Amino acid sequence: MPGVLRLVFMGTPAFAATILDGVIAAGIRPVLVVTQPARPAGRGRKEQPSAVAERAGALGLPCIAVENVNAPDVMERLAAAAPDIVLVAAFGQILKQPLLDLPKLHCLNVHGSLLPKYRGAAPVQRALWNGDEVTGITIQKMAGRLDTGDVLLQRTVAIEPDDDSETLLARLANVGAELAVESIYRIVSGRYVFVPQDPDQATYAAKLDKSDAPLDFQLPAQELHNRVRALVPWPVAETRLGSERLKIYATRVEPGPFPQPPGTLVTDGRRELTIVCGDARGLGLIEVQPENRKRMPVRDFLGGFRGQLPVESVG
Amino acid sequence: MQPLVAPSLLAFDLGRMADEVRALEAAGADVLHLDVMDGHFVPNLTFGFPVIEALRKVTTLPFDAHLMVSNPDDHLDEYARVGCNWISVHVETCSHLHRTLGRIRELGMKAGVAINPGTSLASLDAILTPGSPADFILLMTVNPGFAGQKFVAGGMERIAKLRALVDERVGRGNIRIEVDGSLKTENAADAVRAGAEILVVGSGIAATKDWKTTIAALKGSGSRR
Repeated sequence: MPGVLRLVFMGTPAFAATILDGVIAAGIRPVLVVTQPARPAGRGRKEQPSAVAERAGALGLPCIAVENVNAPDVMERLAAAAPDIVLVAAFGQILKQPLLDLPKLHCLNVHGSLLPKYRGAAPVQRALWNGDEVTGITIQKMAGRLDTGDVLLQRTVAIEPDDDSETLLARLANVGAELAVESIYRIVSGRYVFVPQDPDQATYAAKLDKSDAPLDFQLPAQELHNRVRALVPWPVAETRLGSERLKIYATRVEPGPFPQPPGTLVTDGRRELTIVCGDARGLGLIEVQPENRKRMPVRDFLGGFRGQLPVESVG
Repeated sequence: MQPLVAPSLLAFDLGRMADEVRALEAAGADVLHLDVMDGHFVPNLTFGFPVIEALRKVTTLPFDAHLMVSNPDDHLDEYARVGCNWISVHVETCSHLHRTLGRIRELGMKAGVAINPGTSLASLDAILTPGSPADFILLMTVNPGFAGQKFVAGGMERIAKLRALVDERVGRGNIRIEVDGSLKTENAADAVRAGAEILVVGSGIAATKDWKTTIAALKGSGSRR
């Protein structure tokens, strides 16, 4: 293509910021960055600009934060940017058809799963939740319905046994950045094919919310361990220790077998605390956060009780 | 398993909705249950998008909208836009249930199927499968339409029957059972023992003095004795 590629980048959280960095490292400087407005976050819920807004600011890129990307005034601004390609990564808004038709070439999306598996908002979390050993990145041409677009590139990524959503997302973001760059090169050079998704293989990855946090110790230990991993960094798995909430950040599966009923706490009073699960195996706690305290290794948590826990079982 | 407590907004003072919701969140509610009625599928009319959108600004609780409407498919996008997290549609109204549930999930929400006391659990056959298109079943233990009714006869047995079906066909933990209708601290333990995982409670909280204590007691219904 003659001249310089005109790229518009749309994204919001850290995952998207990593991809923005990758694109810039490859020498492609977006003509415009679009992100979501500042939202309340963290303790105190102060308004914070998105990770992409911060990154764009640091890189001196023109950046707009919009409530609705399809609104007429935003569309005007986008049309003025005259993009060849719109690259979208974890943006958090649905692009309507007029916007999908705007770029000279394509709207491309970086999705954190091997589509058509895990279409939707939380593909990484759901892969962990379900105990998958492999996931990946898909670059798709965006279509009118969410995550149904034809596939340009895919790469698998192994899920490590101790991955949580935070670590897995970070690794996927790096792969996403590489694939995004490769996709742009391929499209610009005209060497590419789009492969349609098989709709019969499609599954959906619903967002996690706070209601997913409490653990049901009737379930098998491995399933609970998978949930703990999926729920970090938000909303974080939890159980009740008497009237107090205990957040659980890291666990391991203890083979047992434990004869006690599910929910029973098994501890040596010093280093180890295991909760008996529905399959007679145990969920060994590694890192926890008691109510109104900070995150700590389970050893420190047990130290606070001098070996005498206030309850015998949880859940 | 400690159940989740989902207070039903309809039973609270709707003239002070925002304050009531903030108070419920502070009292330990897990989810906010929103009864959306259209005056057609059920005899009563309640609230819709503008009200839900306004409430979204005062709380971070997940919103669980129970659509007692004849045409749920027409407005699913709107529920997502105004900030709903779970949507349940009635098995009695959906002629293309799989499509509706798929659309709800596609919009990033959890998909539930609500079933009235007079409808056979057999109508859930196609939903209770491995890899089910539903995330939860909302089992009604009153006929929907008004707050403050009596728990239907045989309700507990029905919960237990659904529990057994879910465990056998879908596997525990893959579809959750939410129970709605005349639950209070007195009967919550029975409902949880029968297999309820999410308790929708209206007047059972609203009519008590100390909501925090009531909600703690409802959650405590999961403890073994």
